[in-house]
Amino acid sequence: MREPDPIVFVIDDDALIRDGIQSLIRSIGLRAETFASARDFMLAKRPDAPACLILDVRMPGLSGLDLQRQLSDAKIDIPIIFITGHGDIPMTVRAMKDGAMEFLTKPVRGQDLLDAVQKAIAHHRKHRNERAELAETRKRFDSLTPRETEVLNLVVAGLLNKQIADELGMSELTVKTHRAHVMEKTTADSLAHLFRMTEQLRSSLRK
Amino acid sequence: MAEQRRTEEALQKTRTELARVVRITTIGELTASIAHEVNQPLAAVVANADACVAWLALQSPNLMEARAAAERTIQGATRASEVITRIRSLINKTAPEKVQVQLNDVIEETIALADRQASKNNIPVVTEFAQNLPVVLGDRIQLQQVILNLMLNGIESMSSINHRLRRLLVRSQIHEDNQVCVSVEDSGIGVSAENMPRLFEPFFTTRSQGIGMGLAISRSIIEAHGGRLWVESVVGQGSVFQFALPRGDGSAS
Repeated sequence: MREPDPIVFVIDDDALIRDGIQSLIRSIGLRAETFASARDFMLAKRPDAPACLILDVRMPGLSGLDLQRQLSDAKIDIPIIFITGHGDIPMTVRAMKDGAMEFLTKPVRGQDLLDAVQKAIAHHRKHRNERAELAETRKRFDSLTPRETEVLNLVVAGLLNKQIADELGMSELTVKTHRAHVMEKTTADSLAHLFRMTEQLRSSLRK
Repeated sequence: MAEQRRTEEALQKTRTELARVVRITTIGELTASIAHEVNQPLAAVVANADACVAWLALQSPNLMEARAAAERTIQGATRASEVITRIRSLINKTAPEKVQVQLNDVIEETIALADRQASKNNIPVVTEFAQNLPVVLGDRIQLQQVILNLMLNGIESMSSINHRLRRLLVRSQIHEDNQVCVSVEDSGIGVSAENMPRLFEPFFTTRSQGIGMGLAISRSIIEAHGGRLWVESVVGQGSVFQFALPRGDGSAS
């Protein structure tokens, strides 16, 4: 499946700045969508694509930092490039703590902005791929029968076939059959691979 | 009776102090708001000019897009200059007060305001007052702002000087009988020939901090008072900023 084209969202209450940034981004062949306020952005339908957000820290209405918080509450993980004016250091610190991708001081040099955009999109793409891979893994593990899942848990706990057979009250041959199914359904090509996928799923559940 | 007078004096002193604090705060706030007001259109200018260059730099340049970006650049620059016009008219509007002002007194007050900055940088401030200096007609607070600005600039220009005498000389003089002149002389780095022509332009600054409005505002204040403000400078020796105002006691010609 082909990945959708990346997109850059630009939110700034100043139309001239908004249009300038959008034009700059389009000049390197990227899509850019502009919004006059954080609220407009939240209400808009966003395509499911690698993206990043360029945001003025100080805007009337819902501020850049408020939006950052709302996005994180809504589990929307689009990387944010913040643009700040003079003397916004306390705000900068707050946004950094909340995981802002990059901070640029107004007026921003075009190349700096484009570099930050490329970096943020690459970051988001990687993140999306990892997430998609994880979802795929989860789907495969979900297809295991309850019995197979029991076997899987004991395998990754480090038990030998004989011990598993005793534990579950079945023959070693049956254990081997279940085990083969587990390997096949999860597409694990080795025991190490099976361990790794199980660990990934477990740590994603812990988050 | 004596006690009542002392109380009144103390009260008067408090009022003066309060006025000073308010004034300084206002200058600071004004500067911050000017910085924001101007930075916004400048950000638009930079973004659009960058976009324009980017469209032109393509293998097959997109002239339509470049043109649109250039037009937005012009809009941004126009907006910036409108901000400056607004600031100018603000200054001119607040210049109605024309009272008799003794500049020697204003210099004394201003030195008190700049004292902290001077002693922090270990710079002695020396005065030379003309005796019987005629009064001028004008706005006391605005004239004080001009002198303060010249003094702070002088102090700043000496902050990096270590190998020779640092000193700020504030002097009042009578010029050609009908002009009252105040000069602020520093032994700082001086103004280079290259920077000299732009010194009084708005937003011209050689410092990393500061927005370069001080001298531009100072000059428009002095000109609004019917005077002139100019500078003589020798690189590596120092500068003399001075202004002359018409005497305001009626015995001009």
